[in-house]
Amino acid sequence: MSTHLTYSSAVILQALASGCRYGFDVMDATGLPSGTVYPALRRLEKQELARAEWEPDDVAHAARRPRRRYYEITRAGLTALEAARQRFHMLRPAAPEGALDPSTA
Amino acid sequence: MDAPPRSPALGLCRLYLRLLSPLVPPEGRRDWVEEWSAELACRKAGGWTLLLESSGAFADALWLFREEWSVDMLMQDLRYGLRALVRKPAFTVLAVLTLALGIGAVTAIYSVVDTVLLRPLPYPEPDRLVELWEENPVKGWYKNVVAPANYLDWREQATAFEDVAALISGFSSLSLTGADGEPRPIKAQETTANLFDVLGVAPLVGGVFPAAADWDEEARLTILSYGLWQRSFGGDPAVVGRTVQINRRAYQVVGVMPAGFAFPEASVDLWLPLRWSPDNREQVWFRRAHFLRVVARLAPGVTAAAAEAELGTIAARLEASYPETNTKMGAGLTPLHEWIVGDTRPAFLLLLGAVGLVLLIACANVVNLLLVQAGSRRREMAVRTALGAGRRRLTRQLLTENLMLGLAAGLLGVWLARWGVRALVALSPEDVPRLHEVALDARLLLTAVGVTLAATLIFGLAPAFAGSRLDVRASLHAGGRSASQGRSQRRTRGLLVVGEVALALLVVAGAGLLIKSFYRLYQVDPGFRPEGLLAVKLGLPGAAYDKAPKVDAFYDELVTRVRALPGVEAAATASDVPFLAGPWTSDYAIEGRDREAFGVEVQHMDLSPGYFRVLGLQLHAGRDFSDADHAEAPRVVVINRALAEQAFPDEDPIDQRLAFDRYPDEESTWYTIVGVVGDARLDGLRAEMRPLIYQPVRQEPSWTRELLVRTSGDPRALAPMVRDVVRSIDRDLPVMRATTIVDAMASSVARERFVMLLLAAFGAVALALAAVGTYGVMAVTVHQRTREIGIRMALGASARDVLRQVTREGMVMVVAGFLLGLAAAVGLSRWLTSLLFEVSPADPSTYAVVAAVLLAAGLVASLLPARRAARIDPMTTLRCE
Repeated sequence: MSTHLTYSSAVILQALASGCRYGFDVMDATGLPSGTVYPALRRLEKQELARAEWEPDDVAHAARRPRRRYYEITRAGLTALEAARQRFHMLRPAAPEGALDPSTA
Repeated sequence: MDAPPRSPALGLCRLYLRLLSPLVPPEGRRDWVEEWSAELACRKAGGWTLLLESSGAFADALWLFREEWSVDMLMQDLRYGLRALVRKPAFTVLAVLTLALGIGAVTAIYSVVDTVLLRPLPYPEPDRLVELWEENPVKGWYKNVVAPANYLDWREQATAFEDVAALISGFSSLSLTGADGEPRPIKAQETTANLFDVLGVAPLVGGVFPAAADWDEEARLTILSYGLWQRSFGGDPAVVGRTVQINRRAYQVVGVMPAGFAFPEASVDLWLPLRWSPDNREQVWFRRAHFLRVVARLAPGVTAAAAEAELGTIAARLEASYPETNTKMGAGLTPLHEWIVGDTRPAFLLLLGAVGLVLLIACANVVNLLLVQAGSRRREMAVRTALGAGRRRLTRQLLTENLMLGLAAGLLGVWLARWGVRALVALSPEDVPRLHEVALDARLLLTAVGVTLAATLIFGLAPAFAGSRLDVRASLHAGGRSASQGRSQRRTRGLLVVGEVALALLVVAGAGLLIKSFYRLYQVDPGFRPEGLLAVKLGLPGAAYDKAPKVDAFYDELVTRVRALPGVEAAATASDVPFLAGPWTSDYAIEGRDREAFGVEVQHMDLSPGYFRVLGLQLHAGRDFSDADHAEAPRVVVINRALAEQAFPDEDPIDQRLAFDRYPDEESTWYTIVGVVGDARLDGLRAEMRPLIYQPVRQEPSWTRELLVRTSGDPRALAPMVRDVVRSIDRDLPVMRATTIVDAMASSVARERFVMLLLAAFGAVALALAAVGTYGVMAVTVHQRTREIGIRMALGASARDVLRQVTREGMVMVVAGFLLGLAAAVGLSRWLTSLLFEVSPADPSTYAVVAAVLLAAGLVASLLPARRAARIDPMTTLRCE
């Protein structure tokens, strides 16, 4: 499968690789607007570079809200990210610290 | 785990997502809504941030929808949408105009209201600024100007204020000699040195007056306004330190205030120090004459109530120390913002309320129009669904169409708002405060356009939502008209019309009351003939006219030469002319009378012989002044009838003597009454006829005077000739102002006229919208019931029967709305009381006229569709079906 990533997709993958689990976390970590992040996550899912799952019903029920959908980078995603890092030098330093604190998830 | 936020914003966000969801392809729609909702529920952000974040959903939804948005298809949609809009020009024009008017009017009025009434004053910590005033129940004073000695005591004794500044109430009309040697009239404001510090505004260039300037008669200093600096000195910073010629004397420029600094108002050209003499402090007049406006900054942490209490304590102490001048003299304070905005509040709130009602009517109308569209497009939607168009395709089509409609309305609305703000500022009476600050509020405009777009989209998408519930076969079969749906839609639209008529009645009734009030005001007899009068204001510079005889000689010469001009019937000079300045007031006493036996205050005006003839005031007893009443002659006065009736009800006032002290003593001057003249309203049409004393101007020398000329021709045409006469006597003397008394009278009621005209315009728009709404509903009703009407006519109903029935249906809605509106209007109109002049808020004749106008408009709106119904040819109709 061809994995020619756009810059924003690569940034989003990088955020997932750094531990972001939810769409809004990715937005916070990357500073990208939702109109970019969500469609890109869908595309990454379709390309099997990311994997998404709904959180268990009982967790959402206990918090009295709809279920959240969380994302993970796949092995193929990691490979694609590594390839992208070769192309986009800007990606090399890790995403800003603190912004990716998993406790915000 | 995050606690779920329970904010109204979250509820709004969820509603927003649900409304957007039809844009998302069906296979992903549920997941999309759930994921977004969950993420928003987990956010800790506050209301606005949450709304902002959820608005990202729009971009998201559109992106997911992108397969549908190929350029070709977009163009096709645009073309189709344009065709659809052009095909129904009446609907398109009406909807666009209605929405644009709504956006434009609301934004324009709100921009003005926001600046004038709501926005804090442009000074640091404006909440700490207050205006101090005096009150005296015996003299009937409330929020009165302050005597200088009292001001100085407050300033020295009060601890509740950081500092207290004072300025002379009213401007000085002076002249500034420009670089070309030409003197030009300017408005100067005299103030204590600390005014700028109290307001917290530093000069743009240079400094402020030194504190000593308050008490230094030689401190000829000035601070320029930004406007004057640009106009007369080309914005040259080097002007600071230089001297300029003000009233032919040298004044040193110490500073220039920044652009936008306008205190007490925008027309001030420059500021001068008060320059009191140190002797003044001990003189009685310093506590007797009230002419200062006092502005203070509260000390940090001190409340207005605490400051007012301290002020009251000081006032009580002064009353005990100076019974002659300070008996019953209280003091109080008002937040400066409230003081400045003051009496414009009811008028602007009324206009805001009225424009809000007009917007509601406009919205009801557009919703009505869109619902009518939805109804009439059911068949089109059914056909297209039958031909295989998906709901998404239909939604997108309607979205494009309504987006075009909303955008057109938005653009036109923005243009109207810009134009409206400019027109409002231009039309506003000059005395409305802070007008120079008014600008179109961009945030508000964006909000208005956004809301309008959202509303058109939501209501415009109705056919698509209805389309999904549509039974295609039934719709096609019934020709797009299902009886039950038609009825329920008709009921909704009928209710909207009832609401529109009720709201329109509120606006029209308000306009009617104000029109009648204004008419009453204009019918007031001022006591003299204002037509043919020209007033010319002059101020002689003390540098050139150092003695009273020189001043008298100038004005005598002027009057003589002006009387010789062609068309001039009479001319005289005075300290004030009607409608342009309020006469000053004083105590008075009648010789040989108990001081409790008469009123406490009289107004004063100084004038030259012949003034009564110029004004057209009738002499009821005694004589007019003559040249013999000069400075060395015995002091004489002429009184008006109001004073004669109040003080001398049963005796002849001629040769009685008056003093202008409450407690006359051996030093008091006594004035003999030599004449009685008719009453005149000199300080406005609303003013009551008050006791007034006229004194010969030669016995009360004043450098600034008004020349009043009566001409048989057009007084405006006389103005240039009078200017020439002034120049021929003193070529360096500028005319401060030349205006006709008719114009001055019009300006004195400019605020009333402004509010009345705007409200009348809103009333007309409201009436037109309500009529269009009624017409629209009736026209659609007739169209939808063509078949039914055809059958009834075939069965023998006459054209008259049909006409009567359709008209009656329309009038039922109109009358219901009228009654509803009438009840509300009677309840609400008492808020208008403060704006009405001699008209009751429940004035029956006004309501009768309003009822006639409204019902007539309703009748026309119902009759037009009824006539069309009556002309239906039963054979053609039935054959078509």
